[in-house]
Amino acid sequence: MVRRLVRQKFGSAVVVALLGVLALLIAFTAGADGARGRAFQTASLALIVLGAGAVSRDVSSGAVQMILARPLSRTDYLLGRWLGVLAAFGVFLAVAAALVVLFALAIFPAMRADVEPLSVPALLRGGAGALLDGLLFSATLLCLSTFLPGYGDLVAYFLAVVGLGALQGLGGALHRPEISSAALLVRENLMPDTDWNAILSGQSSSLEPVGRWALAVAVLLLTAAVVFRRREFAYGHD
Amino acid sequence: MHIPGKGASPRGEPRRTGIIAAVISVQDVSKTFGRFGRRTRALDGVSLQVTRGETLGLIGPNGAGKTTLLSCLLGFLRPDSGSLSVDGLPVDDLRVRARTGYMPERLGFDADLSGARFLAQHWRLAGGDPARTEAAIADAAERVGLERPALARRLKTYSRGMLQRIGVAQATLRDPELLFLDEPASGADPLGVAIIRDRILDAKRRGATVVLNSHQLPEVERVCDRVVFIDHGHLTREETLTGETASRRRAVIRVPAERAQAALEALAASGCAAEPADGGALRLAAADEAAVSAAVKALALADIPILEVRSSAELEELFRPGAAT
Repeated sequence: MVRRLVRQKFGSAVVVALLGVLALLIAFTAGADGARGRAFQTASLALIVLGAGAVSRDVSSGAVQMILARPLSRTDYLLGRWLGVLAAFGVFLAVAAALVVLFALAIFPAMRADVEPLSVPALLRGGAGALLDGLLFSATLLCLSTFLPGYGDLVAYFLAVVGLGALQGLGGALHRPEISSAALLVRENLMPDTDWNAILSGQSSSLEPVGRWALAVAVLLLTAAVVFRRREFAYGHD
Repeated sequence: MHIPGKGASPRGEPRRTGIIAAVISVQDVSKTFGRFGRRTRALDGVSLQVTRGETLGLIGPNGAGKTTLLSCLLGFLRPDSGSLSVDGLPVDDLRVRARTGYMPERLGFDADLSGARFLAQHWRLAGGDPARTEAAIADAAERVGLERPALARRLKTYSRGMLQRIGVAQATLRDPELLFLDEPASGADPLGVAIIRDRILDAKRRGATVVLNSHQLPEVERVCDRVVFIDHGHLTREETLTGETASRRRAVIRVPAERAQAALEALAASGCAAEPADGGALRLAAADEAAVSAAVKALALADIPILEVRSSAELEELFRPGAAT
């Protein structure tokens, strides 16, 4: 995945820009360590470049048929794709963290910039939180990519976020709380917003949010596996 | 082999049956695409068997169902009804896949990969020893005439012919026992066609079972032991091209076009039945050695230059509409 990204000029430019912005954002974020952690969690946006179309691009290019003609199960292929995306994301986070350290320890002091000192535990918690968020986001994209063409996974994800938000609002406007509740239920269980910094620093009880997150990841991966195992691949009826 | 609704072979020869050890078995397979009134029946009750070491050619017009049949054999498509197996195992069993090489009509790849990385990826996917990757790639590339500088280039810079060659190289990595080739020589130059043919013949020599889908009928004739004709999802005919049960082979002698009439007269005078074809070609009624020898002798005595003598199953004639019945 990393090699694939580097070879894509547009993708690598976006990722480099994201790295710079993210590092500056984290380094400049003032306030408690939690704020820096939350800033780090925006790193999940990099998965838009790293993880979108992970399966659908192979399907549209016909590469998937050549791969699946080899002694590799469909589940293993999916898992490999997901782990590849996560590996690339892990590299991205590591570089981002290194840049933050570089800014905090070398560049900002040289510039005499007035920023809060860096806390290494907070940085590690931020990185871990970003990775865990990325795990869920990439599982969502992977699941959608098993049956949607091109970058339909990304479009569907953002439509779902907007749609569920709109449904919550609509339920309130129509005085139909069951609509709002249903939308909230789906959102909380499939797209849970987990405050990893609070959980990892022991400031909040971790059982329920971690459970929701783990359930969402498991459901998405299982759905991806089931859909992909049943999927057919044709490139014409000749 | 069983062809639904078509009965025995044209020459009434016994057909292959399940008694012969079939490595690939297709039983009454049907496959339909589309929904809600726009349904296309790509395969309709197809049954066939391929014996170990046999090279089977799939012949038919565009849209006949050949690629669909290959896709079913590789487990990419699930038939609506019927069954497919390889050595009694489901076609998508990983033990079958470990013995399979496949080349699709359109090669699917990450265009930014170099040829070497593409082959390395498939070597590892095929279960090849990582320590032998370099040697295996070099060997595979050499066998299809791809030189080292070409391997270093990205696949997106490859011509169609080069892609076909590297496609055959990846399909034949680890010398698979089962080889499925979909239009392998399409777009290849004459040298490429010859190289691809040689690789198929190599596979045959080491006992691989090959299923070849190709519109290049002369190539099919050169490498296949048997061909089946597919049209509108049905198997309509089979022809055995090699062995004792070989059907329909005729000798073709080519002479200068302006001497064709004289050649026909010379052959008729010597008792050899022949008919004219395009470009000075004369089709003899028989293909046995004695008939060909007699015809060549008659032409030589008549002082008519012989440009070419070959044996042909005349698949092109069988391919024409109405011939496959």
